[in-house]
Amino acid sequence: MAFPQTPLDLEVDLGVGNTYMVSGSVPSQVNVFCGGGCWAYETGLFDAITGDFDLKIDVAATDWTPPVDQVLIGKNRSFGLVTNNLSWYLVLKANGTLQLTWSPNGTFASARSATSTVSTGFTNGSRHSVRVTMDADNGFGGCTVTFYTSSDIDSGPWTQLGSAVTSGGTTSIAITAAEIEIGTTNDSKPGYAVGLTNFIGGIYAVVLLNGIGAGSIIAAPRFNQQDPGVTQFTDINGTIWRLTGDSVITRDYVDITSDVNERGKIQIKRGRPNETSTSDPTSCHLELANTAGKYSPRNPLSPYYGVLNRATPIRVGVGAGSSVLTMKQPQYDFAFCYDSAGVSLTGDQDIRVDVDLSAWGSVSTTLAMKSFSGQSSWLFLVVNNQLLWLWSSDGTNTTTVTSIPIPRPSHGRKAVRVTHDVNNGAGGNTVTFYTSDSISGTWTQLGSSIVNSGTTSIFDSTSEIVLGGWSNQGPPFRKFYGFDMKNSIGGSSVANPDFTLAAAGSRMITDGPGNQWFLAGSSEITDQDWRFSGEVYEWPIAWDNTGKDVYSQIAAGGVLRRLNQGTSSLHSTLWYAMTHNSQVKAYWPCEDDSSATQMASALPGKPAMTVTAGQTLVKFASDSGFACSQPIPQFKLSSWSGTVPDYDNSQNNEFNAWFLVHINTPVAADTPLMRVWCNSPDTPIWQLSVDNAGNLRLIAVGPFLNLLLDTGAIGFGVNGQHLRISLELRQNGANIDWAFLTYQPGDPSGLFFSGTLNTATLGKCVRLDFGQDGTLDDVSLGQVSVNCPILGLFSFKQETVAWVGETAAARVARLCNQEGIGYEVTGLIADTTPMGPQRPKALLDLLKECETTDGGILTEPRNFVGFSYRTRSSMYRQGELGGPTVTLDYSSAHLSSIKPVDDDQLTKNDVTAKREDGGSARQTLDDGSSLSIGEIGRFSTTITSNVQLDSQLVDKANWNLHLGTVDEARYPSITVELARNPFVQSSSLTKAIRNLNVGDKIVIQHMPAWMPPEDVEQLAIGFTETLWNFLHTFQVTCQPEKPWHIAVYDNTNSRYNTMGCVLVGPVNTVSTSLSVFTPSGPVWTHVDGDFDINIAGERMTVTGVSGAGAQQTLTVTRSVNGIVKSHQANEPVNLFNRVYYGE
Amino acid sequence: MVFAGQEVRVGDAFTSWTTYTPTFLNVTLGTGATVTGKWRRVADFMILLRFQLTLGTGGSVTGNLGVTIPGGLSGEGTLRQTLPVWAFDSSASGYYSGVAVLQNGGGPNFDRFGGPSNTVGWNGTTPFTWASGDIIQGQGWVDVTT
Repeated sequence: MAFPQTPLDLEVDLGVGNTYMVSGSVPSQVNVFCGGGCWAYETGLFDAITGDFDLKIDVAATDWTPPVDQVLIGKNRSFGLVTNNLSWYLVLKANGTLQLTWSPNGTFASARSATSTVSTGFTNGSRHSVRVTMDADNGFGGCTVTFYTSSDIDSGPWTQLGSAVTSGGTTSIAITAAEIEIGTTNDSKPGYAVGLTNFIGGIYAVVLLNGIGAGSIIAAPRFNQQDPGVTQFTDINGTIWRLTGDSVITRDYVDITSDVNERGKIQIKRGRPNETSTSDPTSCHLELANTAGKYSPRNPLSPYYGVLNRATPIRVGVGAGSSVLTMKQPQYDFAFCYDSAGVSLTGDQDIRVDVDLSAWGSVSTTLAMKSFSGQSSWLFLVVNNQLLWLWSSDGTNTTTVTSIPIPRPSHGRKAVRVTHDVNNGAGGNTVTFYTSDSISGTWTQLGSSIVNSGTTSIFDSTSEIVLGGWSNQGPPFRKFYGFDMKNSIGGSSVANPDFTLAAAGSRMITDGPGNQWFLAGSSEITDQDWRFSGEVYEWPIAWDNTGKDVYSQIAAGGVLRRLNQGTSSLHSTLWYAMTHNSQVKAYWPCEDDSSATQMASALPGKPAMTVTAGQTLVKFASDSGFACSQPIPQFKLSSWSGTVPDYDNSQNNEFNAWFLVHINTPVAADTPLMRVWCNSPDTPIWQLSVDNAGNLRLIAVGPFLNLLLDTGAIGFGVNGQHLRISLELRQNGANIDWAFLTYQPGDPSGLFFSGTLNTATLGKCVRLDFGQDGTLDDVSLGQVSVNCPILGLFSFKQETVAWVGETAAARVARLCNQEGIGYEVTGLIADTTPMGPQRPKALLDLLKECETTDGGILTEPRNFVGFSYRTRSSMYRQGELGGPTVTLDYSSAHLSSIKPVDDDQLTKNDVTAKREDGGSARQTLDDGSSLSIGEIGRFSTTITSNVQLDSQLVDKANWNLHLGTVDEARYPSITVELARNPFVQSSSLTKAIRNLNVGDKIVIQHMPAWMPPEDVEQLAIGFTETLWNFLHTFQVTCQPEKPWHIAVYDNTNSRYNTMGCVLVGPVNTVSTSLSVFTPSGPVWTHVDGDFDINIAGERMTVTGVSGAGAQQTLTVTRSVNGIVKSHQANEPVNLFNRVYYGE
Repeated sequence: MVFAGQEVRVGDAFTSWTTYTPTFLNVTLGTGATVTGKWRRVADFMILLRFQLTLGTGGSVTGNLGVTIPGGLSGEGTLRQTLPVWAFDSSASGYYSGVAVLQNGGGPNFDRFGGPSNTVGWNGTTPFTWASGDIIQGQGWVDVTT
């Protein structure tokens, strides 16, 4: 074996570094859900500062001389645009100085400011504490502002920055209603309007004292003491600090590669370890030198004291040779550069993006944009596998054009381009899309140019150029390699960040034309090819007898391991929707267990609904007829009552009370169903009742029990149905508009009856009673809520049907988003199996249900902690349609070992597919073929999945029968050593192996003579990687790929096979004229050109067909695959490339 | 019907021929008449149809000529469908080509025949006077609703 000259370019990072808040948002993006910072609001505490104060902030500015002035911290709402709300704010100015601005009366017009006399002079990206003190009355008839810097916010020492800034007249600080906001303009556009942007960099801590030096602590948010990922926390005063937008608390990784013991191999396992149907948790084992106890948890002398826990982040990488910008959050991770004259092109556009997406078919992914509300120039998106170009000529009104679908594969790296000729010379404008394999590659036009009538122009907006971010509907994990914006079609670049050349870890790069590009959120520039990302869960300490060799053989895993440890079920789909909607003011799911005695509120701290009568009668958890809910209770003659917490209806004087109900047995006579109590002086009671025929009736009753409204019985036919019923009440001037509505989950429409009660006051809803007269019996009711403003009848439509019909990959994405877990979906999300209801199960069970239902592979990604889902259809026909294929050559010594096995591990010839709580379908193979029941016996299995409809089951059964009856060897272990010469000599081959992912196709050519002559075609389903000194070994677990050869319409490699063609007579080894007989169905044709056939293992190319009847003569080229043999009469004649129907 | 995982074979698209006895509308068959028909499914919602009638002794066409498609099927009627037909006048040894036209809106009947050019509505005397030994044949694709 020839070893490479140098050891592996290995990097092991441990998440034990500094913790801080990443602040780096685009202020203009607030209106589109980006932007961010941290804020708190404490009226009494914050208002204590009216004069002297002492402000310290510990920060690392990405650019200490930023392109635009940046707000470090402030108590200042809307920068003067909302009057009387300016107290003070501190700014890092573009020239590197610090500036304090304050207002004695809260107005921007009266604002005073002081600027440090010198700049900080700090190196970009370096961390420092800066301080400003305000002496509001310096004793000499003026005020003095002094700036300082230090390396330690708490212990100093502080070095004065330039001279103290004294101005005439004593001063004061206005008490305003403004929050304290850190690192953000928050209200953004007003700040932007006065030339300010958010702070870009890391913020570690803030200390604000009332008075100078020894004053009381007014605010002290310590970002460096928070856990990564928290979105709110309290400081020493109990003040709640909340993070918004793309601001995130993160902890730096520390490179601990030098502590990795070379004697210990790093072993990483990922994917399916064998031919089982599910992946094992990803694992990583390595050994750390621990002589000084650095990796001993709870060792007070360890530099990592307090941060070595059972979920310490770790990642292992090898040098990638170039850098890339990675993003993990779809919405809040992005890169941007500020607006400038250079990028403000109003004429022709030529924009190119080089990006790697796991799913080009996701709902919406932002490639690049220069747009925010009212300042829209253009957006370049991927929407459902099509490129979308949107532009505006006035900043507001937009025009959109889309391309044809992007060519497969629907995942991986592509360069895409749009050109816009705003005046095509023929009275119109023309948009053209292109694709390429790299941004510098050859562009292939994507469909026809799109010609629009009329010439146009591009609005010169003040928006930044943003790469990524904005949409929350795209794949979270993305890689950006480059962006290029030309000054005309094919012209010179005006913005062209090349992230492949950027320094790893940098948060700012400068492109060729001089634009500075900043990273936001958890975006990262890395030069590593990450092989593992996970969390250390085991810190064993060991040493030899001398005590000189101390080490820790740590074990790390991912989210799959953590979830396997056992978690409770997720709540019902409606519970999740209701508890995440601010309009819901009171909510009782009524999902309590069978021995419950009251109905708990799902809103924290809110009162339960009580059983006011018939405590022992109510039958909890007895009706499971609503898929969106856990079982709800039956009345059984009981009565319930719930107090509605007070809520603010000042903006919307309205509410609705709604619930799910199932009247299983009709009531005897008109029976109160729900009584709504309001704090109205004239209309305190509204009552909805039901009668024997299922009619509904609404009455309103005055304070003296005087009847104000009686609709009489209205035909709704509610008996026997599973319904949502809503009573909507809205103050309309002096009157109350009322309506009651019913909706059966899944229906496209509902029923309603409405009217107006004149001269009436609504008030707030204060109480709900159900079954108050104790006559509701076989009636189930649950999911009760009071909503203000009114929630429409069709709100939570998908949640109400428990997401029935949602595709498997969409469910994976939604669940991961919901639970805050990173994910990637490889393949077209829409091209996965429609699913049945999402029942309350543990998250992992739900994700595995998606995997089983679709037939893809759920595993964990290499680049981040989370889930990776490979769709079934993305594994169809790879090479031609589906993506990267690794081709290895046995004869060129690419393989270190290969072990084919012919066994029955995968064999299933009797498959029953069952739908959870539904029907089943069974398919068997018993046609006399080699793996059929009559030949090898019965190998049966039952697959339970959550398909939407029973009609899907027969395909599910047959597809699995197909996979279980492939007559091929499987390759449980194919081993490749990247230290071997063929890989050392070929960076592309090395890269291909490194990129090989779960579900990818692997081809092995030129197998030895004792093996069948054809290429080995397998799917990689699992990996074991070993990194040690010079070696990087891949052991790949595989399964046959041939069953995934799905037919492609109008593709030359997809042909119909005949229905049982055979040789008419014997054929010698050289004859090129074969007489064949096709007993039924259409016969062979050569209309579409040559094709290959297979007769007893000999591959032949058919170059001509004569005869149109059942007996034909084929003209062939013999022994195409090197097999020379004679054949007997009746030998089957089949296509060589046989293709199948997909599921 | 094919299922996921099945090999793609030409027979998937073509079922075997199935015989059926077409009903010719407004026709008196006559003694010794022969009526034959067969069909096969060639795709979802498409069949290949063949039919033939030889009038027997005393046979005649009594009104607008028509023919039915196999029982249980219904021609798709979003657009008018036509089917190539051919007629043989045994007394004159004359050949006439034309089309059968599916009933308006779709359904089981090709309710009129027409052709050649400028000749519409085959009936007792068009395109010739029908008598014993005369033949009608038709063959072609028919879009069906099931």
